[in-house]
Amino acid sequence: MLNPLLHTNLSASADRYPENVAFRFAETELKYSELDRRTNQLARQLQQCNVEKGDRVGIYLDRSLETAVAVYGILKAGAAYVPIDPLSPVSRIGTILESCDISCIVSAPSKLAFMMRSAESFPSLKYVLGCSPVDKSDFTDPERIQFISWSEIFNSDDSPHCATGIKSDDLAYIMFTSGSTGSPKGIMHTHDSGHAYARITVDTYSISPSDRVGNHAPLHFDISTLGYLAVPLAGATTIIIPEPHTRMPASMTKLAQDEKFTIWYSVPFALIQVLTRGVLDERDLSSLRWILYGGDPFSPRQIRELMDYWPQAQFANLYGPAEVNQCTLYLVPDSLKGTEESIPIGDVWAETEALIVDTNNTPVEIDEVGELLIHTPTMMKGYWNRSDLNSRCFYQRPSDTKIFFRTGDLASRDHVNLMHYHGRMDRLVKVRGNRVELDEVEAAILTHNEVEEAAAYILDSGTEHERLELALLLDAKSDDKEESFRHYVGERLPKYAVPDQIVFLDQFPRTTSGKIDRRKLTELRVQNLQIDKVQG
Amino acid sequence: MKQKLVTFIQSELLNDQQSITAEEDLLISGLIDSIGVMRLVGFIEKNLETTIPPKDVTLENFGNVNTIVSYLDSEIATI
Repeated sequence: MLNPLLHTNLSASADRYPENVAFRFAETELKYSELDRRTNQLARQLQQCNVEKGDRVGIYLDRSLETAVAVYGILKAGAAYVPIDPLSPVSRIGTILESCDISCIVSAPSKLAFMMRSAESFPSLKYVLGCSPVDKSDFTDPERIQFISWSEIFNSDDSPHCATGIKSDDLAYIMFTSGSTGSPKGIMHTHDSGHAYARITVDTYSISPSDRVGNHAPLHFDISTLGYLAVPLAGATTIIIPEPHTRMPASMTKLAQDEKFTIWYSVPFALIQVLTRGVLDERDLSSLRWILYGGDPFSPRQIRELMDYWPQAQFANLYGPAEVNQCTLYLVPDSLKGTEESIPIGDVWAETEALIVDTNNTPVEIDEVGELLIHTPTMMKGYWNRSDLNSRCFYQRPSDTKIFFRTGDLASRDHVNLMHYHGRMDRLVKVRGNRVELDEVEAAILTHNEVEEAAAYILDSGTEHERLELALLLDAKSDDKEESFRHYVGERLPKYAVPDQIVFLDQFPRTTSGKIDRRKLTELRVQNLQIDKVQG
Repeated sequence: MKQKLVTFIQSELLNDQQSITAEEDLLISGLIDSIGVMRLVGFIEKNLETTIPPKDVTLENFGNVNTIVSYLDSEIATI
């Protein structure tokens, strides 16, 4: 039997549950039968735009129903989808389009002005689907890009349509994430790895057609694969949480109540907001049966408080870098006191093997810390066009030639076989759940000719006030203000990687070898801030 | 108050990179993020020497500057 493809999962659910709602957004929804037909239409249109099997197609969309149409339409056309963060600066989007040789983007009318304004920065772009200008006279080269509106696409033939010859090890999607050298790196997933993730997820959480899954993450964030890839395999409903709700915890919990979420999956930051400002005393969220969180450590005290609000729900810590989707699971026991030091990342989930090794790739003893290596069918194929990284990020075990991904995370295993997380080997951090390479932030500002040295670091980690700060040592001649440096970085990094605060120092604390002592610097900044608070 | 809010949002939350109107939706397309919402609420509380309960920080009340002002007019007596 042939291995399943991600879009055949959708078509199978459309056959079995045509009237079930696949995706909901605000007051609108798409049933499985509708989503299946609309993706036929988009796939056909993409092929008319010369998209061929193996090509990459960009998705430049805010949270909306169209994101689901785009994902599955692109897959049916035999291409790989590349989600683009709508808050990314033009230069970063240009880098992604160019590196993936993207000629076609799926978008929406709200993005038309941006597309018109930025088209000249995207030389490879030939087709923009989902929006269409009335007047192209502003374009210097009006013929280069062709626009096709959604109404045109949705008025076309909707009979089954799919590219021929798609294989399960073909690329399905590429997710771009922070890269330490300053250019984003693309994580390549295939139909095989995406489907394995979807299948194990549906089994692990027993997702059934009656489940209603709250999708908190935007499409370019790997946590969204549960809502976009796993839920459609089960024939259940994904509720895309609109952007404004994610900013307003009281509105978000109202939505969760009205939509009767049965499964919640987000980074801890979103749950901390729900706990502190989501007016949980006034909300009936008894429909929730799973609270899944991942991407960051979560304080046991706050989990305990949430568990007291939702005693019927099973809380679980999910661990796994985007390169392997998910790989471990820890079911938080009802007996959690809240005074524990931390929550374990648990044991591997199905079909997965973990190794914790020292620098010689030798497995470490119980309770010893080493690098966590993961072998799993949900693992990526590699980084897009980065043979330098691909030669380093995998380990092949000599005894059985099994391939493991080097997570770069430090972990230990205790005597009851639970694994614990001990931070990173490098300078990758999470800012409110988003992956940020501190080296990339520093590299971005160091291109500014008035900046002599820079250090980026996290303050108040793991709290509601977690933030990214950048300390600068400037050229003596500089009289620029914080705003102009922030603007400079904002043109080069995605919004979540732009520092929340920029401070100017006369000198940095140094290590004995003269390097910036970042640990000392962070301590000093914490003390300074406390002084500020007292004075303020 | 309306002008104060517009000025605060432009200078403190948008770093003077963008100007807004009182009708403009503050929450679409990531104009203001979750931290920004918290700072905005803090600014109002400090200025009016009042407390805004979390249950009132909703899309309906905080969608744009006009809705914030009418919420404050009707709910916060000190304005």
